[in-house]
Amino acid sequence: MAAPGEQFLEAIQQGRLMLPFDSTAGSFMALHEMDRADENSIQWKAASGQGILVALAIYHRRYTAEIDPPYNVAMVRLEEGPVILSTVLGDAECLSVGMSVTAVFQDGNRLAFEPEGDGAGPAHKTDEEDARP
Amino acid sequence: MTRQAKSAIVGYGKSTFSRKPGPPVSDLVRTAVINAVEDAGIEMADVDGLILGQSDILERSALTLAFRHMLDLGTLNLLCVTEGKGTTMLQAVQHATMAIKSGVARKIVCVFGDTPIGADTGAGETFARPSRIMNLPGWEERYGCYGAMGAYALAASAYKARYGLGDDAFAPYVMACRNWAGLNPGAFLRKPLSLDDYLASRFVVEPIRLFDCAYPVNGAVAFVVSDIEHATSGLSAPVYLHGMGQGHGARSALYALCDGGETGARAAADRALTMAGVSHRDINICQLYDAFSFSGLYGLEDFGFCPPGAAPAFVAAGETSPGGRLPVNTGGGHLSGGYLQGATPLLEAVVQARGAGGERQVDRHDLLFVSNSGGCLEYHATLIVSPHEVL
Repeated sequence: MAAPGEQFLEAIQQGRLMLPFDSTAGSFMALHEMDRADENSIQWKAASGQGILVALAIYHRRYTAEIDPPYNVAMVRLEEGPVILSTVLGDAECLSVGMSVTAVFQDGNRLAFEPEGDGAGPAHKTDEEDARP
Repeated sequence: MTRQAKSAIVGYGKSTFSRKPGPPVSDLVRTAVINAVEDAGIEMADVDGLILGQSDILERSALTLAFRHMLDLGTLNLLCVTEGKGTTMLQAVQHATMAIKSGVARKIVCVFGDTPIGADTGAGETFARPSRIMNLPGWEERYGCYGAMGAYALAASAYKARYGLGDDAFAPYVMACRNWAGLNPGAFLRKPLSLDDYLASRFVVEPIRLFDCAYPVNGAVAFVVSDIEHATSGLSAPVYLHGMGQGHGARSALYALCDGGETGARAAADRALTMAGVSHRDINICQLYDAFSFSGLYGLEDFGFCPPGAAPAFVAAGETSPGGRLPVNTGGGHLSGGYLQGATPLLEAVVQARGAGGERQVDRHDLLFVSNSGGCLEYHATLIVSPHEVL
């Protein structure tokens, strides 16, 4: 069985945001701590894609040839509890910490978020059979 | 109840500090050790322990155990390299103290050197590695989240939002540090800074501006840590170590602010204070690891000197400035004095405890709190030092 981190990334690669639920603790796991879990007690559950923007950093300096500044890096607290690092689409002036955001996938497999009410559909399928990547 | 010190810093030495590429770190460290031993008034042969602090950003091969051959040292009873990200310097002094208390060695030199500025790389490039926030391979690269800056900017944004702070919230901290630097001939950025100057400085990663960032330098610092019995036999007034603590939290400041939890800072502070038998309000001066203005402000709260959210107003009221109730980073700190990781705050603590601060000397310097922090503020080490052997 793949490590929890790999399973998470595989789901992202398929355009799905799946979260590790610790059935022993009865709660979702912090994503940066999921590799610490007993993989047998993890159940993968589809995220609703809803969240709150809890931190926002706007890069003005170039750090990589692949992304032109300015761009932003964001932390989103998902409705289910876990916090995830991603980016928020839209004009910087319209973004603020505390706003509601919704997950979208760019190019099919790049997770991003956009301010709620921007007309995006569900970010992923939520069929029961999709609950196990 | 009186408390006896655990060890004493009986000498310190520096290399040149520079913003230009220069000698390899081993040369800088060698100079610092020679100066420290001279300052202590002992012979190199009296040194029986050496702890080499490894900078997280320096090649491992730059400072190895073989460094000892660059000095006229006799047989050592203790020799090691230690690494604890930003906490390396204080950890070295703590390990030395533990070794002394257990009788392993009596005079241990603790060193830290770094050369972030190379011939082909500015300091910005040196620190521009992917932030590690999600613990998922390649995740941060995907979003361009590079540098210690990434995690700190995110944490700073969460902090500002939590307390409804504006664009100018960090300015008083930066200005206070600059005021101290103006009194320190060894500081790098000494020109007074106005609010307009601050607001005109460019964003690197918003909300962090250029003036919110440390000013990295190449250099090395060494300290001679001694047992108490022989602390007064040298040339310099001993600086006594009364308390020490570490706290390595399950959460970085970023996660603590976004999601709750402890960073370990309070545990590190409380352990050191309890060991010294003193409380926060007994502390006269704080020397904090403030690689970003946000780190200094958050540190004041996280270590327990200000209630959560109260640090910006405390600093804006001048309490940490020259003449304030709790002077903080009296040499200018990392922002204006120069950034040599954990060595910067300890160096200034020793100078102040000796009463050797010249124009910037704080009158009341009986008890000093020193911190080192690493990662995104999830690794912490602290010291309580004093010119007094018994508290």
